[in-house]
Amino acid sequence: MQQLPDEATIVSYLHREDAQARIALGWIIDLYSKRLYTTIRRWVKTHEDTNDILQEVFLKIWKNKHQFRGNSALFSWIYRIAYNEALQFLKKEHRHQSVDLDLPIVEFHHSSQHFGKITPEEISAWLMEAVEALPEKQRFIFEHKYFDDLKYEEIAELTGGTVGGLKANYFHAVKKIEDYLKTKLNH
Amino acid sequence: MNTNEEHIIDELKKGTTPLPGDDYFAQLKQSVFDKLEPTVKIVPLYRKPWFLTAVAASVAVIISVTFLFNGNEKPQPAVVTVDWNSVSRDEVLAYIDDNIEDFEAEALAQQLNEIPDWTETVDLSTETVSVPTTRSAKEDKYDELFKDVDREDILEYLEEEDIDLEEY
Repeated sequence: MQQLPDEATIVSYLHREDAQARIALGWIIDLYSKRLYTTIRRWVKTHEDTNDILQEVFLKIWKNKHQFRGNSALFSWIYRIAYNEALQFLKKEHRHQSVDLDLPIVEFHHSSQHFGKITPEEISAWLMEAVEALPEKQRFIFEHKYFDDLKYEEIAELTGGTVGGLKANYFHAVKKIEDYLKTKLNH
Repeated sequence: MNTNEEHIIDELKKGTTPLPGDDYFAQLKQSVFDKLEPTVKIVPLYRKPWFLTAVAASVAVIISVTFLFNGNEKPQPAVVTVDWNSVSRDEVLAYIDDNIEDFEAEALAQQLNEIPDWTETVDLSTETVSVPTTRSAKEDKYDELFKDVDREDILEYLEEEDIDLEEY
């Protein structure tokens, strides 16, 4: 596999006005396209929509490359762009991500008392509603810890935060999600 | 429904998000690059340093060519009116004196007497001179008389007879 440069190098190349900036964009696509694809696909459901949004995300990165000042990690900035693009898409399509999910994100284990009572589509929709309601940082951490099974160290590389801070944010996120799901299940 | 679960999230089994093959991501990369604007910075033409110089040079060339063509323009064919009144009698006489062999004494005398009335229209473009076409009977008679007489003989006669053209 191609060895890609570190984030500082990528950003310095991205900020240039010559052909090197395109090379940097290529590195970004190579590094993050798969991760972004799975994240966006969870939000908008279909491959076609995911593809459209993903392309738009990379074009936005290119167009706004000078707005990235390095105040946060590069992927955090890209993730925010992707999330905003997906939200904008869902609003334009007049549909909410919790509606009409044909690929359930989660379902109850056979051992759960809710198995067979709550459909995978229902619990998936509630889960995504709860995730969407999280603050951005908690949403980011939850998605990458819970859905993508990243280790805290790996998330720290993406966000630039400390492992301790990430853990705290993750538990806060889980608590909020469970509270939301309990509310839904009790009605 | 009543739930007292501490960790509902632990009861959930995650599904897998389908991920396309590497070909898709290669194609995605190409599609993104195809949509990028050129990396060359587009500078408005009027801001390019050489543009003003080029414009100035072009204007200079246009002005030069315009003057050049105007200067070399062929004179339009024109009808030029020659005011024979501006030609003095002495000048006419000098010319006749130089070309006396081409004139007949009486005809010359007659014409010289009429010089003040010579105002003719000369078309320079065709290099033709309009002359009065009205000929008197007397002139016709002279033509008839001199038709078979050589010009040299007439001049010799005039000289032998010591005829001075000035008298006419």
